[in-house]
Amino acid sequence: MAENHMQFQGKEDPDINLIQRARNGDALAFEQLVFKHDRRILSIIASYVNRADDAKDIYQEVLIRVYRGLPKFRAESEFTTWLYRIAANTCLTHRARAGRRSHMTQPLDDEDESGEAHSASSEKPRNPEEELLSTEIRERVDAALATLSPRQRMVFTLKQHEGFKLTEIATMMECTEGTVKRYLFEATQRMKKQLKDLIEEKDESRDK
Amino acid sequence: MKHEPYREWLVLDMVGELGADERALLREHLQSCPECAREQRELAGLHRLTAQREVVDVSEDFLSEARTSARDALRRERNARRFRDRVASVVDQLMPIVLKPAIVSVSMLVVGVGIGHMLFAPGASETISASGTEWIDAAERGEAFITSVRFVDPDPQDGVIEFTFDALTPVRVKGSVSDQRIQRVLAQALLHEHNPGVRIRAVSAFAQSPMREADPIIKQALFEVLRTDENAGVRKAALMVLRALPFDREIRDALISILLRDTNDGIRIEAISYLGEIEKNQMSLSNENRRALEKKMSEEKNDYIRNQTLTLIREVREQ
Repeated sequence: MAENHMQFQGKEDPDINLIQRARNGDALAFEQLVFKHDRRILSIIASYVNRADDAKDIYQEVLIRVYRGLPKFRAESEFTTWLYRIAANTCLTHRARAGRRSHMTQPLDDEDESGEAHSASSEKPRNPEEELLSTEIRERVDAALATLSPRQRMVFTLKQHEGFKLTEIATMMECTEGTVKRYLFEATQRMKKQLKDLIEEKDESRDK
Repeated sequence: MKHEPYREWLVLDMVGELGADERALLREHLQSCPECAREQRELAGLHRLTAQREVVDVSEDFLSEARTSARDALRRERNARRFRDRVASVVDQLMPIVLKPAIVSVSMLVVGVGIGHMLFAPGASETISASGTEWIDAAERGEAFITSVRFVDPDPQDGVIEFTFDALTPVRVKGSVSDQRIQRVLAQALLHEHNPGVRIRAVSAFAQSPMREADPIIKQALFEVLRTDENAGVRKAALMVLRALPFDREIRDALISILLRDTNDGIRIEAISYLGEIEKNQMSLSNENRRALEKKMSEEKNDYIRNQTLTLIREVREQ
């Protein structure tokens, strides 16, 4: 799935017509081009920041950067690869610039006005106690993620939540696969340390 | 016992990125290394915990909200770019790259002096071309905008300078509302004009056109407006245009989407009333449509819409 988006071996970009029209100032073509891929972009951003308002801010900034950069896009990689790269960079700089508040205080999975949760959970807690425990765990996981450096966190969420391959992540983050592995290793070790008590608790309860 | 590179391999194994050869070596090592075996258990525990962080579902509504605010930002960006381009173009022509910031004002003065000298100095040659004069007069009357001044001969010493410029002027177009080229300009206006009055006029022009079959680009523009335009008047006008088009599956789905999401009662009433024509148009509801409508009934606060939705579901079931 993600792999197909990232592969580009000299084949003509399927978006080439839209890209050319958008470059010539066709605003409708620009929207068609971006809106073909923006669900995944928003998902990447949302997994990373986990705040609805920040996700929308970053998404907006990504679109502006794409608009500004499109005349210089030289089609050396597939359009989606370039788009994902901009999304990743924007997340990283947003976080670096923002750093102003915790990203975890208003998770996306809060209920919206209609009472519908933004996120889909496959396992619903069965009773209030389980629900409380589950919420506590999620908050702890998010808090642990917040202690990672932006790049560690980006690698961790792209791998764990978005399912990209390490090689794809390397392309998006413009670094080597070895560097991505290092970020993933450091992120994992840090997460493990932060959540040690919960890991042990779970382990004990499984042993019983 | 040496634990490298096994600790790194354990992490890669956990995310399914370890090669077969390395995995075999890791398995072998784990049998003789209790420390790495414990590490593996801890990583599995971490994996279970992080899996509980709910994966965010980017819903249609959320995506639509994000697109709406981004579209506004893009409008501003386009306007800013137009302005920057005009300024940059003039500055590029007037100044050497290195001294741009420093001599901008001086250069502007030189241009002014040059033009003044050209126009008023005794003996100055009056060689402004007829077309040049025409555009300068037009700019003076506010009918054109002069930009991108490029100097051919910038030296005012001899009392004469020479330059070119671009003259931008509003283009007046008169044509049939059925003309596809005119309709595409209107579709652009519909999506990108900041002024809602202009957007309403653009969509109203579509309403006057007898469209047996809509241009797909225009149809998509209408759908986009119905999903994202913040102005209810524009959305309502777009819905009226949709009513003039042949009823098809795309329109049916768009109408259901309006019914489910639009916050304006009047627009939802229009949508359900048009949906009532499904039978007449020999269309049916998909299972997905029906489920969405059933859910809508339980949430809808407007009695009329709720009753009409119920009728719709019942009638389609009877088919």
